[in-house]
Amino acid sequence: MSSSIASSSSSSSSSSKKEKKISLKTSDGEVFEVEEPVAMQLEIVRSFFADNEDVTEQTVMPLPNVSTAAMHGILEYCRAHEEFRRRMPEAAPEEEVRAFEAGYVDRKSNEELKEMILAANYLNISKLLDFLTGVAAKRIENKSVEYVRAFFGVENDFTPEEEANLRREYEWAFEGVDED
Amino acid sequence: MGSIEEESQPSFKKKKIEPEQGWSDRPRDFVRLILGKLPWSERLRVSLVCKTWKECFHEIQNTQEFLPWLMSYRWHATDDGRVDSICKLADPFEQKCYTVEEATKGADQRGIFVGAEPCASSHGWVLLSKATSGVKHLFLYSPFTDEVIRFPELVTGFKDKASFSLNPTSSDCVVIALSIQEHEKLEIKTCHPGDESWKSFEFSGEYYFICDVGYADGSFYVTFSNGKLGAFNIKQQEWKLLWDLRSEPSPNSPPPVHEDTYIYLVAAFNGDIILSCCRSVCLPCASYRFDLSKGKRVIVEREAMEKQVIFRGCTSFSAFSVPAEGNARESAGKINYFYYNTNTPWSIYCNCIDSRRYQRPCKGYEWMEKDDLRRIWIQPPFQRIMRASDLLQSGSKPNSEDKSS
Repeated sequence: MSSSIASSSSSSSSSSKKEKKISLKTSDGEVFEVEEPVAMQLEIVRSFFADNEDVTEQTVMPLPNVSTAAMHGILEYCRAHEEFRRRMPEAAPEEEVRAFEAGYVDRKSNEELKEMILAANYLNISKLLDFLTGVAAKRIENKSVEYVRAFFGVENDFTPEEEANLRREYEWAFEGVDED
Repeated sequence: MGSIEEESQPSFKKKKIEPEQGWSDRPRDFVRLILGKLPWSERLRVSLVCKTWKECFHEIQNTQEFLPWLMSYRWHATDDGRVDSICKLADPFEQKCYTVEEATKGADQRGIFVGAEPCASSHGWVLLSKATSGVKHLFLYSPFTDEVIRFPELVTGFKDKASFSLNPTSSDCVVIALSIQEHEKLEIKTCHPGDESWKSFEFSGEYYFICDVGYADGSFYVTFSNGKLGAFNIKQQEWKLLWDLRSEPSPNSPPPVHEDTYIYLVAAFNGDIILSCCRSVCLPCASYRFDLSKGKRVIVEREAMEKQVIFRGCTSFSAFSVPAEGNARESAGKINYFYYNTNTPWSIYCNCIDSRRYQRPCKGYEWMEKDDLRRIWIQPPFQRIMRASDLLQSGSKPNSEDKSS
């Protein structure tokens, strides 16, 4: 799906004139050539190019906090949204966006999701970050505290007594939680 | 920034990048983003993940959940002197029912609950009152933390009412008990959690039956059956008669209030005190706001009513409103109340404020199963969960004004 969106967007633009591409280098050294409007959805990229007059088209912008795998996921999302914007500049086709987003996250494992949240945060793509944190929230809904700790790899820093007390305080909230 | 050509990535070096950052030391923004997308009840549970998450829990502003929850309960004495206790919480946002308690308990723990009547509820706490042979026991109960705070016994007449003050973010709490004494005098008693005795005040004047008591912004407002409205300022410990509808100058006043009208108070979410005048529980009400600065009754504009949803209690009329936002948006301008009939005890009804037409059940509560449990509204402590120890601590703080008086 990602490749079809990418190719459709590049083919539609290639008919007009050569589209400006921006080179982004991930932590593991891979360079992505990204269509400018897609790359500009990454706030960190947009502000880099806006703040630095000296950068040229040849400048390769390093993104040391983003892995190649996360970058693929992020570009898939940004390209799809760019495509929606191109087709319907006034109002996004809500149902289509929802369908895309649902399919998009379904294919992501929890690990991938977490990596992408970190990447989206670093790249400062607020729309994607908002969307992904919503997905993470959905995935931990009705789950036990232990599950959530394991999900995010967060260490429990309560003492056993503190935790037992807190659990007793609002016992009702622990009712009917899914099995881990 | 001209150094870009000499140095390949100058602007990135300024931003401290730590590629090894894990999820444990994530910036709080992150945790807040995720927690903020969970329903309050989920957020509460998940706040136990670690200390940072717990702190973030308190920083999240509620933007979706405004409809109050329901507390359903039944406390029955068993033949062997114990108490069958059922207490449930129903969450209209998650459409989920939680069991706080369903057990047989000792009379030492739950005996006081048998036959107790709810007087008021606020930010997760309910004031209950139980009368036994001329003595009144008032106590606060929080189903959210399953805690009880008892107050000293009171000897009061039957024309009495009680309420309490609690704000969303402060644990300052005062319980007030009002009664009419001989010669139509008003007696006010106050007590902080943890106090060993009640403080008494007496105010003369023609006070008949007490209609309603409501708390707003540092004062308890009280309406009387003979059309009076007064306020007791907690800090100053002063009683002030604010308004007497019988003596109201008529030309510029809103339509007069009928003599047999019941005036109940709505503590509006924006701090207003709304006087709702109705002649029967099911009839539409006329709503007035008491303008404190001008000292007069003004009609509440329809627009203002449309911005809120009113919830009226079950035994006393005492009511409160929530903003018509989030999950309360669809109930804008409606008034929700309980109505008892034998087939469907304690059903929730929902009226438009100015119409007789009612809808049942109202939005947000239609999923609830029928049962014969008693129900009351309870606003969850969305901003801060106040425990008994918090309330007791604030009560034990010596008040310098108290000592001088």
